[in-house]
Amino acid sequence: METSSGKSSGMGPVAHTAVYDVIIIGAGIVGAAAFRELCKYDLRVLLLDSLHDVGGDASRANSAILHGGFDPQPGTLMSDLNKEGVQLWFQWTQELSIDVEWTGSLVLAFNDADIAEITRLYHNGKKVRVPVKFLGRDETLRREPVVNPEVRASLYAPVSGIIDPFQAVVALVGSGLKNGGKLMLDTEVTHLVKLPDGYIAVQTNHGELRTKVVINAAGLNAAHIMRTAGEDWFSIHPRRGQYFILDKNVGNLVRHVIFRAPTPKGKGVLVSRTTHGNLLIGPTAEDLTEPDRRTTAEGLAEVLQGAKYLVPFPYERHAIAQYAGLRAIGSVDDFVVQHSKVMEGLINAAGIKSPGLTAAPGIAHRLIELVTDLLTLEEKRDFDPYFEFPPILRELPYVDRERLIKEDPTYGHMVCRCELVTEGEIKSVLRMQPAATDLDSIKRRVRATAGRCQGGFCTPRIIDILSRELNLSYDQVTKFGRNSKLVYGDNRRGDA
Amino acid sequence: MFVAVVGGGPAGMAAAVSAKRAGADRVVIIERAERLGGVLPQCIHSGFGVNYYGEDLTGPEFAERLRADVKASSVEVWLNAMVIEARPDKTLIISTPHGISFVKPDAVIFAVGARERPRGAIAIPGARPAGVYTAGTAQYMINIQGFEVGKEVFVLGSGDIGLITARRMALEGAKVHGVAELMPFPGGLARNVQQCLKDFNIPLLLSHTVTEVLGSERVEAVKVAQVENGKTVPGTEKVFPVDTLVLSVGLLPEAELIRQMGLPILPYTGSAAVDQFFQTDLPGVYVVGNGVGIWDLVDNVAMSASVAGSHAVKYEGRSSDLAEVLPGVGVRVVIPQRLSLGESDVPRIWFRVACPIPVGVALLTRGEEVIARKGFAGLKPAEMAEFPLKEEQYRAIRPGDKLHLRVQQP
Amino acid sequence: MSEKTDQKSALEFTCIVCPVGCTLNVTVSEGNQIRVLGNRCPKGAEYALTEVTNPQRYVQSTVVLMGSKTERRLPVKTDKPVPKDRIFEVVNEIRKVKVNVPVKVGDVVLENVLGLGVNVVATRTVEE
Repeated sequence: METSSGKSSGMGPVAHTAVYDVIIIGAGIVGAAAFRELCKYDLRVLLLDSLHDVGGDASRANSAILHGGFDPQPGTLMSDLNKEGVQLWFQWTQELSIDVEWTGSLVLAFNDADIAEITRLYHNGKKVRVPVKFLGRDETLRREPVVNPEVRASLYAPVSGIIDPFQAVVALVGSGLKNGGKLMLDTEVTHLVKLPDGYIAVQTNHGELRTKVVINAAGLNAAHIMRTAGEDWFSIHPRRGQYFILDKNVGNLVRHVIFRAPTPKGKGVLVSRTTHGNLLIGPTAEDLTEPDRRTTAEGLAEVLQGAKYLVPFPYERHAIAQYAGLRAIGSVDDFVVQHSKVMEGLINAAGIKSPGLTAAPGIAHRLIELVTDLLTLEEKRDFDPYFEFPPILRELPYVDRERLIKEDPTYGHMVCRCELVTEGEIKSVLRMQPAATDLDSIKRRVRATAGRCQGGFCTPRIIDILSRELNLSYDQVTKFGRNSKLVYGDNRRGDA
Repeated sequence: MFVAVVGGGPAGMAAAVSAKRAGADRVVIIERAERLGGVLPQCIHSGFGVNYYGEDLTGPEFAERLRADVKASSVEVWLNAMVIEARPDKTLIISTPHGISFVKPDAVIFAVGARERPRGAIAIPGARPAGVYTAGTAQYMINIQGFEVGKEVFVLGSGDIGLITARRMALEGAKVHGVAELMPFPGGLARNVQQCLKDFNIPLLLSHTVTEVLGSERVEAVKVAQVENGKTVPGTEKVFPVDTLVLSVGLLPEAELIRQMGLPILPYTGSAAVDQFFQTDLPGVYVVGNGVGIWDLVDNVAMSASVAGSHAVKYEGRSSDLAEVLPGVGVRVVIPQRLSLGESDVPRIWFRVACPIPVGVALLTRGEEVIARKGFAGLKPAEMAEFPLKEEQYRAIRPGDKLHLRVQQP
Repeated sequence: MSEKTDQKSALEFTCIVCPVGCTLNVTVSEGNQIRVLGNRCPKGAEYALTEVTNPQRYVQSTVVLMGSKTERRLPVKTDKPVPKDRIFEVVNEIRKVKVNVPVKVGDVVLENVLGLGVNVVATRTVEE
């Protein structure tokens, strides 16, 4: 059986005290990027996540933007790593076949305060040497005719764009797995303990693991992980962002990523296309004390209002989904990427808020430097930098689709009619590494259920495919693991 | 004459049979599912066919009759075959388990049906656990796949599909805690309120909506509140401890291929404009059934399709003398939106009102001038009503006329 | 005790015979005389009479279908209405039925359910 329950992949059953060189906690974008880069070296690397799929938490519910690098305060780690991240994404998206579009972004100014703000951003951009241009009203409207005509000026950043963050995480993890790394899902870290022999014991709900180095990339939980190691100078609170996804029919409303001039609370609501052609609006910025991923009527109304101010449009008529993500806001107003102050061998990547997705490759490189302080790294000779997803038929010429269907007729059987996903494609992501094992992990890999009917047509059919291919009873098929069961089984079971 | 019918539901089967009977050389039904019938095989309840067959049939029985006609009339049926691209020159590109097929028929009849509006279309706030399904999806899982979908259920939307799904789940042993309806009147037929809810003591909460979905993995509860003037009334929230939320909040024509043909989509039907033969502004391209607008009865779906099927064969092209029909005050939907003039048969016009009208008059007007009028009693938004046009009224319509259909209450 | 003339019961319900859904007003006087108002056709009056004396419903459900390549369930219905208060008993009997292909519309899958003189019949043809 190629695919297992998803608890581990790329490895056999977990030995009681398996020993690693580096364990990365958290398979979000930062952990995935570090995983991929560490797997270039002759190391035993393990990536852990508490959830049922890679993709983390904030990494799968964010704005899906590669930021231009003009926003963070020059001299901060955020600023440096944002810029470095953009450069690396150029290369990585090609090596790992991740969808990206360098659309450019516009920050709109509507009043004197906004103009002062985009002027400041302009100077930031110049200082850190990322390309920025100050555009007047006419040029702004020429580039983006649908924006609120009261716009007075804008800041244009050509080297920024949109990316598929799910695909990015899957590809990075896939690349690491392909180069010898290991992955364990549904694995919650409870404690980090420094052992007398220098190793760190990583205690989990699946037993204890031993490692020389731990990279804490646990997102919202990063401060909690630090505390289990006795490190309590840092805290994190969640900042919720709510979003709308709109139908592809209106995906071309804007060409660029459209922002409002930022306020102290953040970058505000943006209007953007996604790499799949949908329109995305959001986020809110709500500081919470506890993680709460619910959308709210007020939050969604705020998103609509904010988007309508930037680009007047009847968004609600074209809505297909809403979601909320939590950004990890640290008690220090910068990324924390450094050695633990109390436990040798622990490296923290914490407080990774926006622009974390953009900066992730830069963060990964910084983490490699920190690992070098502790371990001797030797490059693998056979490292393969390339990763390819199984074929996505809607992106292939008809002759290639025809060839695939002849090899496997299920590539001709359409399951998701909105996004045109075939049974063959779904089966292929159940077999890829990292494997999909449930409805949502299929969605993140091939977009079945992500279209305008949101799975109304294909969910029942995918339940059958998951049940058959993974040998699960119907009530074991889930939306995202654990008890997220889609149905309660056969409705005639137990009847004589 | 080669007619391709996209979709093998009631509309597609009726269109194909009528095209074949009208003398088409070759008729192909392209159906993406593994069976003919569209949504009918999952609609195991009765209430179909009273007009079309003069009998009260269940959905599967209605489908069987059409399927028997299809089998008897040497129509080709392609199953598991989905049109993935439709070009304005009528070329259809079809994905099948045998490969990618290209066909270029003389006429295309889109009988593509509708899709259900999902949770995201009405932006119900809250968590995103498993256990939120549209009514049609729930029906498919219960009746076709044989799944137990939920044990404790709440239904949002009192359209017929919502009411029937509530009863079906109750019959399967689920506890249905209630059905909420945003409007102050039920969306579905009165008899369905009686036999689906009252018979099973399922509460109907009018002017209520679901304000939040709760649950981290599977649905654990829904919050329901009263609505007044489009706003929830504070203090009226109730929590229903359910594991399943079923949504019956509207259907939209599946118009993607129609859009690909370059046809403009009308905001009030969600599909292309058609004339009384269900022909679009592209000659030889037809849209029938729920693909052209949402009908309340499958009888009308089948009827609209058979009109198109025979027209596609008998009349190539289209009359250039057209008038336009638009929904006026109090009318949400009018079908058809074009009238081909000078035809031998007087066209039938259907409309759907925006809100219930106990007694009223429907008027077909050209500017200030009333072309035709008809009194109605008991018009409901859930039901498509027919406006009877008389011969002399039809003949009085001139090419280029912009007619409005509106309703007035005394 | 109320006045003698008020020895009647009045009922209001919706006719379910056809999609029109007339609101029926039924009064039952002392001598069990039944008067129906609101029906737009004779079937409505007939329905009102049974609804007052012995309410009945057709029942539809599914049974397990075996041997088919594409289908797991066969839709079925009662060929006559059953007493309303026995619907769940009937459904429970239907739940126990298993049928093999081929099966045709109208085939009896359960005879004389609960001795009610009602058969459960297939509403779909499944050849294979």
